[in-house]
Amino acid sequence: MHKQSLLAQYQDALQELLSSGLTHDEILEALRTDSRFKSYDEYIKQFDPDMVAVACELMGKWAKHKEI
Amino acid sequence: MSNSKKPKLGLSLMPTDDFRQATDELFQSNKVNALEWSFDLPLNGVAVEPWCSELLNKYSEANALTGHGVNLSPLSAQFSERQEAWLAYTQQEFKSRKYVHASEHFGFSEAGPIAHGAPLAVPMNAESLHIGKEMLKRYTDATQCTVGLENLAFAFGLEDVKRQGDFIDQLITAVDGFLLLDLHNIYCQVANFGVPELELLNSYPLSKVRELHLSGGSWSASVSGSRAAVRRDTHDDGVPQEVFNLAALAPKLCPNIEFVILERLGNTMTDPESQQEFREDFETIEEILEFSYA
Repeated sequence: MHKQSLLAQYQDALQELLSSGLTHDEILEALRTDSRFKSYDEYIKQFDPDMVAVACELMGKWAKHKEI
Repeated sequence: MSNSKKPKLGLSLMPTDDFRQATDELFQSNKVNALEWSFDLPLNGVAVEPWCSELLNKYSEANALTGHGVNLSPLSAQFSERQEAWLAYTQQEFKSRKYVHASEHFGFSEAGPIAHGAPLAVPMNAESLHIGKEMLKRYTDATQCTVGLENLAFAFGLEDVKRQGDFIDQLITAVDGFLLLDLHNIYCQVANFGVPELELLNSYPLSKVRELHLSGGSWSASVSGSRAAVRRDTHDDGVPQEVFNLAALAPKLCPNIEFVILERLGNTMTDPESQQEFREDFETIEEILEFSYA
């Protein structure tokens, strides 16, 4: 099976979390504790809770889910 | 003062009745010198009525039609079948109508369970850079014209704000492309992150700006309480004074602007007052350009 790049895993996880209904705090915690994204630690550490909340809103308003 | 040629002032076409009502007077008086079209809207089921097609064909023939993609998701890590189909559609559209250039939004939306949506910031690393360059090459191949990227309003944090300009520069340089500088997006980042506007503007490759966008937006509550409110690029209100101020500044900093486009989402100006406000915003930009390029 084709192994996903780290960036692809990160983007998948982020979109999964933002569309999950979790709170911004829960999303931040999930990203910060996911061992796969250790090399993104510094990047994720600077995430602003307000902006994660906005991203969740954007997801609710504009996201079109993939057809299963 | 700028010594450059005055850019064409235009509108982002919305295939909605309120847009038609608000802009009829502007089109009739030949004030609209350019038209921007989000050519991938029909892929989302948006119907293009005959009055829209007539405008598109008219501006295309006048060499004043610009294309603005919404759903490519140029920085998605995985190249999908949906993106492949999007590019094939785009290729056909750009064969059927002549566009001056084509732009897209910096960022990604397709990943995990999401097919497309609002663009989000990416980690600005070597992998994102490689993926973005490859996608811009595909976009250039499909459109057979110069392509560009629009700066993003959204940022997860200050690093996204500070590094976006240089990263976009590296991406567009790979295809000899251009920067679509959205002034409301700049305003959002200034308002949300407290970055000085001149410092932020100067972090972008300003000589590569071929197009400006102006729009309005709205404020959301701050969940963290760390700021009074969060500025959002919602395109559902009039242009704020701060964005007009940036429009007056831009010609001094960006010597190669060819198009200035006013944007507002369809169905957000259904009453006569907001339609009048839209026309007044257009006329204010017109006055700024007259003064700046006198």
